[in-house]
Amino acid sequence: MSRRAHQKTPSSLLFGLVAVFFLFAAGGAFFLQKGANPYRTVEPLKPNDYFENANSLRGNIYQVEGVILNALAQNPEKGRLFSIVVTSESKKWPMPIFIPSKLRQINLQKNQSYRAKVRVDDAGILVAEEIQKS
Amino acid sequence: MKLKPHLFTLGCASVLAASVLGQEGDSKAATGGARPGQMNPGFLGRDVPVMDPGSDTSTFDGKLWNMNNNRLFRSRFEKYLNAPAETSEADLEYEKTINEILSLLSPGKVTTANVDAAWKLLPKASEYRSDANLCASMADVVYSVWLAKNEVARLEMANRTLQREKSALEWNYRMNLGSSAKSMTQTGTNPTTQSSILSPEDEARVEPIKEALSDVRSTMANNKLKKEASIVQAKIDFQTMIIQYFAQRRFRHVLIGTRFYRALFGDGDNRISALDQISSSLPVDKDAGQVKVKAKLDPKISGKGGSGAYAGAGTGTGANNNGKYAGGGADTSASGGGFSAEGLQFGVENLGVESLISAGASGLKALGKMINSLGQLDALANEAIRDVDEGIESYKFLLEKNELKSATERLFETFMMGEYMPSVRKLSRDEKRRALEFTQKTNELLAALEVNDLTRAEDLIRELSKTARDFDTSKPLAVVETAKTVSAMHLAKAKAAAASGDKNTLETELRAATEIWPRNPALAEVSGAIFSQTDVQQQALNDFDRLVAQKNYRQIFDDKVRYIAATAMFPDRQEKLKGVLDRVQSAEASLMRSHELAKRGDAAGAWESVERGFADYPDDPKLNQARADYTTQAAEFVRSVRTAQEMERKRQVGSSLAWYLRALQDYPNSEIARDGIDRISSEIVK
Repeated sequence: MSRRAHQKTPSSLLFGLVAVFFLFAAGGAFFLQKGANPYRTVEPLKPNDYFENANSLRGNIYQVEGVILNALAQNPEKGRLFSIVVTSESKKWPMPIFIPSKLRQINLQKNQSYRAKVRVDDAGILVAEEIQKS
Repeated sequence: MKLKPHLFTLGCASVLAASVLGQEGDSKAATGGARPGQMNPGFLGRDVPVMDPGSDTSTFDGKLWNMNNNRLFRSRFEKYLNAPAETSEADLEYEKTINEILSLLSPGKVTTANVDAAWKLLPKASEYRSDANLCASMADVVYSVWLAKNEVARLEMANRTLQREKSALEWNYRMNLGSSAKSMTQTGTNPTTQSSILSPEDEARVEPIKEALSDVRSTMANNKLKKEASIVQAKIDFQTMIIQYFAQRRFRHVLIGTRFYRALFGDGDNRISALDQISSSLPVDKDAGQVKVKAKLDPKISGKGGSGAYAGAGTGTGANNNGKYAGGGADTSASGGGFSAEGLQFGVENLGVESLISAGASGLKALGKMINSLGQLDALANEAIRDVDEGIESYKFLLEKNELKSATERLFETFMMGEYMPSVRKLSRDEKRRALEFTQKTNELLAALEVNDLTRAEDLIRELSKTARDFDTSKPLAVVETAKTVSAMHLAKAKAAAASGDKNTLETELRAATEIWPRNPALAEVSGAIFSQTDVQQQALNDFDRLVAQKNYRQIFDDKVRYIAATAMFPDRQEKLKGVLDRVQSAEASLMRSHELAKRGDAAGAWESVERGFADYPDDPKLNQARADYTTQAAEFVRSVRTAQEMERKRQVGSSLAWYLRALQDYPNSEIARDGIDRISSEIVK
């Protein structure tokens, strides 16, 4: 039997491998994060402001994340109105959200959490422009 | 012969309707014929006077009048009934004097001495009060006759002297005529027929004699006429006085007068020429014509059948050129059948002073033809004296039998005929008193019936039936009972009208009931009840209106029974009351529910219950108090709801909906929040 010669691993290689690992880890983390919140660039809605005066927020676009509570009303041509509970500052804020008919392909379920990009319309209602499960 | 005064009498006709019942509001018709004239217009209406000979009553212009009960007769009769009996010494002395005069002048005893004695007693008789100086007047007239007779005697004596003078003048005349003329002079009683032609000398000689003779002849003729006229005038004066005494019902003076007359004018001429004399002295205008009473009947009578009710009577007056007419028509019909008649006219034509004087003169002439001798007057006076005495006896007998009605009637008749007769004057005051009381009561009864004082009338009827056995109560009682029944019917209708709030009918029926029986005790009672009820009702209505204006619904609710009763007849107020009671009841229900929820610790639910009641009735103090209490207990929920409502008012739809959602989150059973959410959601998806 032959005896392999004992070979010593170079330290530069070790550092290189660690660096690649971190590089891949950082890239993976970046990409993973990007898939979980697609509206991370959109400002989150502050429920307190909305409760105070929704009209003052008209025309603005926000992102909201909440759990569907109830379907309040619907109109096949216009869309559906839901109530969602948004958790903010450890308080639960029930808020209405209107899902226009163009988003009818999304299957909204009670007690499921959704994230949406919303616009405050002229009546102060949150109108979803985009929505997805969160 | 009775001298009881009878006024004009018009014939009356009666029309019987099949039925006059069922006349609403027409008390007059409803009372039918049972009521006196003032209530029943009658066939000819009220403008035509109608006399009921059965009861000696007359109706005119709605007034009931007893012909015996007028001021003139009543006052005289009552004065007599209250006067003491004329049985004093002076009265007896007067009676004795009159009898003595009559005795002296009685047919078998008439001598000049007796006539003188009787004449001397006349002034003595006239001294008594009862005589009223009538004997003195008679003495004057007798004396005037004697003067007239003396004048006649003087004239006869003068004529005898004149006759002698006339004979002397005629002799002188014949002697002074010439021989040629003598043969041509026609002697006799009429020298004016002398046609001889006298010589101028003869003419001058006899002319004074002729004139003197003519004067004597004319004086004699005048004296003869004077003598006749004096006697005739004395007779007429005497007759006039006797007739006047007869008219005054001084029958014994009439007897004295006729006996004096016969004694003074012993020529056997007892004809009464005074009436003719008076009638011929009246200023009759023959062109004035005569008064004519006309009755024209143009009947239009028809019967009716079927239903429908109407009863009425109409009268009218009109005047044409010289006449006045009163026409009457009546139409009476009733359910099931009826009868009507019209077309009766009464009229008086040519009514005037001249025509009335002419009628009076004709009447006097006719009377003069009926009573044309003193013997007739004498007989009538004697008969009257007997009748009066008999009337007094009859009165006393009826009084004993307690038949006051007949007794009073007999006494009244006797009094009217022989007021000054001794038998009438000697009736004692006690005997007359009972008739007086009866008369006063019957007069009161008539007055009570006239003014429809039925209570008083009924009392009087009872009193009269007790005091007068022969007083017939059936007629007056029928009148009273009928009027009472009709009045009660009107009152019942008034009550019904008051209950139904029909003011017009109430007023009409009350007025009708008052007209029929003004002093009806039930009238005051019912009126009081109606008016007090009306007052209470009006007060309640005023309170209700005030409380509604103040929105004090709780007060109305607490006294709801009063207001329910008061507003029963007022639909608008009733509607208001219903709204008020609904509100308060809703508030009460809210309060009760809130108390129950609060007991379970559901403060939000209790608040919400109060809040829902508060929306209906925001001014209720109880709700306000409860609302304040529960607000503090469910502050977060209340804040959410109020903010949501405030935002909804401000049209902040999103915020409002969010707050409602939050309220629902705080109190999942919240109906307010759910309603708000549904309301806004529907609006959003609309």
